[in-house]
Amino acid sequence: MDFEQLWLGLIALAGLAAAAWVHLGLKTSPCLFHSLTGLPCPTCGGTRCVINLLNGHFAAAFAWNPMVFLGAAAAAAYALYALAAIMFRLPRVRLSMLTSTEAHVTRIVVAAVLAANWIYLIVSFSHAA
Amino acid sequence: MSMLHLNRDRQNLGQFSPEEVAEGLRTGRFQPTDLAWREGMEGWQPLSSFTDLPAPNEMVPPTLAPGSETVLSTPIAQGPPMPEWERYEEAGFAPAWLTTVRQVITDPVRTFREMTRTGGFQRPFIYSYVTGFVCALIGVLGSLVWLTVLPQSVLPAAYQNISVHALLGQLAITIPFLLVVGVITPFAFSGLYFLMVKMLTKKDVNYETIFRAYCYMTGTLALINLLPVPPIQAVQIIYVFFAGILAVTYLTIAIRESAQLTTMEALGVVVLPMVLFCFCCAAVAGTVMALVGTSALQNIPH
Repeated sequence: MDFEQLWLGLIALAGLAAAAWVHLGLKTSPCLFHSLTGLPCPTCGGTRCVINLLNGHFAAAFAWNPMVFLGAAAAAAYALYALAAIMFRLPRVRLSMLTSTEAHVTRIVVAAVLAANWIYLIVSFSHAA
Repeated sequence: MSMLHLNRDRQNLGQFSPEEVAEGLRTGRFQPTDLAWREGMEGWQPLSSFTDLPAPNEMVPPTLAPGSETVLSTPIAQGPPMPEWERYEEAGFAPAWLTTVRQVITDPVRTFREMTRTGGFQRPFIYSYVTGFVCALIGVLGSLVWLTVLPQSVLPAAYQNISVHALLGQLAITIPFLLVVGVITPFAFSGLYFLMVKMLTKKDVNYETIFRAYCYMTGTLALINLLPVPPIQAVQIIYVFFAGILAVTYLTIAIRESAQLTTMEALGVVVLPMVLFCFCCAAVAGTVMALVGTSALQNIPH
């Protein structure tokens, strides 16, 4: 299976579905964690982030949830890479290419980003309240 | 003799001993055209060029040590492919589907330990997609029936006094989203679990293996949408809670057995996304689609 084709197609499909959802003005389910604890979960603000992204308000999108914003940016970057790899028959990038040290550093960075994002959300949601 | 790294279509299959490779060639798990590399070689070569693999009659079975987890976790490459859906062309759609559901629900450990780990994405995707869509659609239709039969006073404000015309309109919107979400979620969520395995363990697992385990597990768990749960918030919170526990339990078993992880590793792979993403990942594909349909109803104009 050509994974670049697969993920490019899925990212495009997800983007179209999200745009259609926003255009139709459909709502999403309330956050269960927030309902029970009063605190934001790590993805709180993610929907509003996506809505702002689709409307071209990048600064507002980042403010709602930096992690979701970076995730969407990473998905867009991957889609561009996949398109280039397919069109120009470039060598494919794979996770198995990471050395043990690179994989370990990646784990630490990802964990730190997740923690920092959650702390940011808790602080910004408490200020808004 | 050192371990062999195998690759097929630019996808890493993992590391295997020469004995495992020889057995895999015999059972069809590996193909002569698969590429292999071991330490000391300059580049990848097709398995057909390896002349020093042990012949089946030269292989000595490993010594059985009491309570050896390694032995218990070794996949048993015997008998027909597992689950039964892998051979639906021979067995027939309905019998293969029913048998697969029974296998996954009643004996998940054996089913996922013996699950065919390669063989394409089509079969497990079809199983997950069709089961998930049908169950989600029935779940949404069930919610619509509840809205018409329950007293208005017990329903949340957003669901009260809804016309049949509005309900049918929302159903018309929900179905296309169910069809689209059903395509995205198996690949996205199995990709997430694959990344979790890479992040939390040092197992050299194949994405296809995680995808297959995810599809067979969540396709079966989508049957939980057939439960007649009324659209009352307290009831739905309890339903999602117990559905989440069921999903965590079965998904942990599926990931543990298919990827040959320890129980704690598999639990971390399954639970961490739940914690990070507000329990959204606890919902199986069918439950996610049902929630999509239910949330679409929240925008029904009065």
